[in-house]
Amino acid sequence: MTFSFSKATSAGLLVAALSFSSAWAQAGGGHAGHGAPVSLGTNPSAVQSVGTTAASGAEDHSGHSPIYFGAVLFDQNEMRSNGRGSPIYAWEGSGFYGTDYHRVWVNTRGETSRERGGLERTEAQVLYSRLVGYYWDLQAGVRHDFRIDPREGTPSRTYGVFGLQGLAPGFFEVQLQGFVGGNGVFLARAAASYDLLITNRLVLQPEAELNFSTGWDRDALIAPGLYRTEVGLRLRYEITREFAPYIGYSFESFNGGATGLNRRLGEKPSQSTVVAGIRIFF
Amino acid sequence: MTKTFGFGAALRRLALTGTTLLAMAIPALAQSVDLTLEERTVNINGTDRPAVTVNGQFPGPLLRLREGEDAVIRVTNRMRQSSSIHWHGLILPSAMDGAPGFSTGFVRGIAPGETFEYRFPVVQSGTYWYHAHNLDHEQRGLYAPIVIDKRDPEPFRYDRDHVVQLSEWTDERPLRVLQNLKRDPGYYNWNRRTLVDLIRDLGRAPDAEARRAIVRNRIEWGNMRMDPTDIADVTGATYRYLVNGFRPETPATLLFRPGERVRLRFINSGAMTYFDVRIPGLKMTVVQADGNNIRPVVVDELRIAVAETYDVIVEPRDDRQYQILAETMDRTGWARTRLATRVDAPVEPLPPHRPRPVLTMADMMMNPGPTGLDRGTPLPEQDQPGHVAPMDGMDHGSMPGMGAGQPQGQAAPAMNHAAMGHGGMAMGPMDHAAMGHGNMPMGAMDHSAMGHGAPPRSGAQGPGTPATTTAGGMEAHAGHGGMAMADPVVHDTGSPPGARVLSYRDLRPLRADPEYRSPDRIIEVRLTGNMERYIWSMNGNEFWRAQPIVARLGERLRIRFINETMMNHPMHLHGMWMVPDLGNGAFNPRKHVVNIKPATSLDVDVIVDAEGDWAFHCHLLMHMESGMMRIFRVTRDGTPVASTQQPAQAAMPAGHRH
Repeated sequence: MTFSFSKATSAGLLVAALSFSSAWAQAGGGHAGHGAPVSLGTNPSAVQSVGTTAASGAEDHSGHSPIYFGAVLFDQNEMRSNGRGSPIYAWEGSGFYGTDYHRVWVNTRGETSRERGGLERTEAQVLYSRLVGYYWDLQAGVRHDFRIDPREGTPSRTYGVFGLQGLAPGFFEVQLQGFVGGNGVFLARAAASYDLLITNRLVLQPEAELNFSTGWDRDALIAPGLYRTEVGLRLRYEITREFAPYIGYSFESFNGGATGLNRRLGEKPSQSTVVAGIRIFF
Repeated sequence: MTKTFGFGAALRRLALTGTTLLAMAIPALAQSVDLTLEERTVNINGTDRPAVTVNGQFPGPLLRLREGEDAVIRVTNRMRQSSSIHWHGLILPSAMDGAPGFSTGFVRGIAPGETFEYRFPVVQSGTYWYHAHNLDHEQRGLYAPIVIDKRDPEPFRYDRDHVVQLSEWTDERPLRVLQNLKRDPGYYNWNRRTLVDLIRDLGRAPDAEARRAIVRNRIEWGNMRMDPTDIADVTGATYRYLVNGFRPETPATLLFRPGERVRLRFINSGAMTYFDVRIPGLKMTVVQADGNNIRPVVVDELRIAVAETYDVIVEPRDDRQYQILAETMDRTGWARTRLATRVDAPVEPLPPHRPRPVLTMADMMMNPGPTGLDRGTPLPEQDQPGHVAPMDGMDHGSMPGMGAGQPQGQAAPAMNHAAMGHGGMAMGPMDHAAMGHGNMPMGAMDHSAMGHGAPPRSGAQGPGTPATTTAGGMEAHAGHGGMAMADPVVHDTGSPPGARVLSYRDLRPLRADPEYRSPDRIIEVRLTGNMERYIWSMNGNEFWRAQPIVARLGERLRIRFINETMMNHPMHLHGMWMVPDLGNGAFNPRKHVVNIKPATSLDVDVIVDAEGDWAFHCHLLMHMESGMMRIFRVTRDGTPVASTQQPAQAAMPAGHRH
């Protein structure tokens, strides 16, 4: 129930994730292109014992090893304005590097503070991601919530993360995540988004995110049940796949007990904003 | 090393220009040829890009050989990376095949600065081509025609001979293109179905029922998480399509005199592109396919799969120019050249594109997952996760949307499996999950829920069990849910009514194949992959984790291709002929590339007569590079061959209707 406990948990998860990926590490013969024959679990590649030309067999495939690649997507990279005061900057992005099956994922999000400047609600996740089905990745790793200003804002927290990410029937991008550690509460997050193609370049993207908790973490503005909701609608124009300016609407709200926690800080529990930004993919 | 000496470099360049000129002047009957691979700058789209040239040429120079003589070809690599040249379609010893990692003694290809001497007897004639056996160098220009003159006179007459080599060019690095596809499989597809399309379609629909069908169809595709507009992975968004290296705006001119018989040697050297070829105003008499002469067949159009070759004879009578049009299958570009009586004839405008084809439900009907048939590997093999699309999203019972806009649309009731009545078929054994495919998504595995009417016999055997379920497999085939498979060899090119389009069934050799006999055994090669992640594989295993397919010298091996994906795959086997079973017995053609259409199955016999390790792969280079490739290992003896069971004759002519 202490901070050290949470650290141990997350460290353990990280270790688990890494050992999970050890097969990948071995298999990654590298870009040199002469990957050792991969024997993953039940699929032994015992070709050496067979045939007369085994020496030139599966051991050498110039240039034909698994391809390592990566991508970075800043789905939200925007200014938000509620019509009063100065607008804030907010981002939500992710990136990965690896093969088709094994990837290192980084998710990050945050925003600038309306009152003080500086950053608020800043979070980073480092996950190991493994393809488990046609459309789904299983993910595990750590999440850290940062406290930028030592005197103000929510405290820093570290969680162990496990999650499922993929494409649900109907072409919905879905992310389900569970968080353990932070002050002994269990958190869950469900997020979904959809790309509605108005034309091939003009895309309307509704998205929603729900956050749940099993208990109180008052400093972090977390209350049992549904404690925070985010809904957004963004209309982007894909000049290229990499570069797509957009406008939209975003609604964020604290729910349930978290409403009160937020009010105590003298802040409004919900916020409607008009957003404008540039989606970046590279 | 000599790079620092300007004079030396200049001298070398001069010498190279000399050889280039020489090579151009005499494509020569000389059987001894020197080829130098070099990186040079080309400018196709207004930007200087590094291309791979052969003897300073882009694409490479024509290689002319004579049947019955030895060829000696010295290839010098002046690039920074290892390279290779593979003689596509040529029957030669494994060590001379030029596929790095497969060919004996050719493990890493030709290292920088090295010269490799290819030496092999030329035992065939016809139109072929050569290319680097890797994505990067081939896509950047290392491809060129091979013409082998027949020892005896050709059985057809012609006055003139032109090569029409189709290919494509991208300013992007080829590996970058592949990475883009891996990051977003729809990266190059700017023709996806949109809301605007939906509104337009609804507006055009004649009645409420049609409107409901349109909406249902949209929902079906959404639920399957598949894209019906995914006709080509890489499109005109990045590709420029070339003929003999020329863009369609500035086409090369192939000269003729009116009344001449002109032989056109079509070669598809594209990395990823299928072309629909036509010459408005002229009929084409196809006389050769993949280097083998066939009984002449007159067609209006033909679809040329990647890496295939077709030789046609045309007889232009008028003193005018004729457009040779090669439209990409996805209608995002043209490759074009022209027959003309003079080089300075003005360039005619290109016609408008034909309507883009859209995949239909029939293109994804066939997804049996592992059937338990022998896969030809030494040890049992299981699919990797993520290679078989889950079928749970596909409610076959409610697919009336199928009928919308498809020529071969079926009546809705025919699609309802439950109504098919697979009488006498025990469904229990079909639950493959109980057979040890523990890591498979259940949705994909529960065949009984899919209504596949395979007899229990095939289900009773685990994957890779030694006994080949020949007959059972065939029945499983025939009983495939009672769904009509699309004709595996007929292409809808959008041709006008009455136009004749070439099909594999038209390819009949001049004489009966003396080696024709029934196959000794059958193996199954499912073409698998993940459309969403751009993973491609054979039998659910990518190249680097897959076992070789082992065949025994002297046998006739039948490969039962089952395309579980929604893409065409031009399957290519090095070193040996493939004979697609088109129901013509000894008059089935010999090919080096056999196209397998989406959601179809085709039986292809291999005449196993060449010892060694050979590459066996999809010739879409992005698919090959992402894993759709196997070692095809031919051993003399001592190999644990799964079965020598004699299959029933009358096996499965392509295009049979279930």
